[in-house]
Amino acid sequence: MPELDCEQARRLIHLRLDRELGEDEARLLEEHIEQCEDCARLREELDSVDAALRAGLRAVRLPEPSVDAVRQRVRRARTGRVVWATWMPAAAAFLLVGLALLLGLPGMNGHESAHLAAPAVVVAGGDALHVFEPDQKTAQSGRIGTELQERAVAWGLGGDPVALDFAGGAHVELNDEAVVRIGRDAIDLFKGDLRADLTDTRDAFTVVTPWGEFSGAGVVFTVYSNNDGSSSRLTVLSGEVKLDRQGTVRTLSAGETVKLQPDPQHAITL
Amino acid sequence: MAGFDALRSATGQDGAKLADRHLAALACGGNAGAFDVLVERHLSSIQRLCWSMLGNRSDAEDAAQETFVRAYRCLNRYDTERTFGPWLRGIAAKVCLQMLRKRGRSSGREVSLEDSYREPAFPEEEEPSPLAMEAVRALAKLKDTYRLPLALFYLEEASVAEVADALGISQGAARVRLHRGREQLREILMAERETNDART
Repeated sequence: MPELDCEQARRLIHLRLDRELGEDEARLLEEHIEQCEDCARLREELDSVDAALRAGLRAVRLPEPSVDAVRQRVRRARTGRVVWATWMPAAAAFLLVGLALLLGLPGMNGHESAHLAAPAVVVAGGDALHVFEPDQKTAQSGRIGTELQERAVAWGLGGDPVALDFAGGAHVELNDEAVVRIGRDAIDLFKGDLRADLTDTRDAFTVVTPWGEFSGAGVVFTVYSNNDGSSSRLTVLSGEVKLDRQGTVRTLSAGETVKLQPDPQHAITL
Repeated sequence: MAGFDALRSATGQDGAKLADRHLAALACGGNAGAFDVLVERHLSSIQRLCWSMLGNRSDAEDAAQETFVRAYRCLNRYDTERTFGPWLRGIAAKVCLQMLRKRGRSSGREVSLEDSYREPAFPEEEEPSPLAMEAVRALAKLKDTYRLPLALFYLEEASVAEVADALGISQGAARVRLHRGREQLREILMAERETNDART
């Protein structure tokens, strides 16, 4: 093997600290350092940086983490409840609508109060959402409080999970890979993961996917799909969900999970 | 430990004796107690990792909690052939990166973390050497690009491959960032040493 120059030696000094230096390279490095004071000093300095940083970070004492706080937050996520702060803008919007109704403002009447003008509103993770409204030519960034019109297409930007509230009471959480199209009392899921909390729905809410159609009222279920969409898993967490697939309908109960392949009868396109 | 108790009563198994991957599989199947055990087992190291990446306690606590929420939500994607710790650290790294991006967006400038790094107290009986403390402070002066790989590498004894995986970059890029970050730390520490020598 050829002898090292100083630049090559510097690289090997770092590789040694990375725990990636082979035996042959280590021998070459030693041979170079025996003859090069500069590189010997460099190694000594980098060794001391390495040891100091490791010792310094290990010695840092942080307050005892709160296991209970994490448990509570995980449980909230599990039950679909979002912290009050993230609901504030949506709650404020609902309050305003309610006040307008009470005050009899123009444009508001009893019939319209049955549901919001837009079928869905973003209630969490709005920064992580991109929205393509049906009458727009360009996509817009979403935010908490953004209303999604019927046939709007929304997708995550790799940020926080997104949550949508539907006028009929459905609460739908999406992961950062989900792509959906909004419907009235329905949502099309093209890809990604979804959790539908339909606890507060009166009428059936439907999730249309390439793997089948899932619907129910007063139920909670999840749809997890793999990255290439070649399979999906439906899990019912509470209530009973109707699964419409390949022309047949079956009912799944709480605790049941089914793994599904794409259903040609439910192929959906953007 | 509530998690262990809940798991024992639910499954008849002692959570303390189960490997992470078994607990993850149980949690994926809906066993809340199993996930609690994973939280108890990993929270401390995840919070420490988040602190090293974010630089202050409250953000670190928030990021650690968010890490476990996301881990719970995507447990079905965890490959039980992989070690659970690095998978969880990968999630933590992504959470921290997102928080740093938001922080950058909201402030419109690079946030100095130097002071934040001084928050934690060192136990008196285990006080590290002055150089070790300087190294931690110097780490806080580095750009995110270099600070995050170094924090992952040194705090978690992660391999270059694990650092790359956690940050979503190639191994070559992770290696370059580690080398450059280490060089920058060396320059900072050596400059401080020279200043101190000149004073004395």
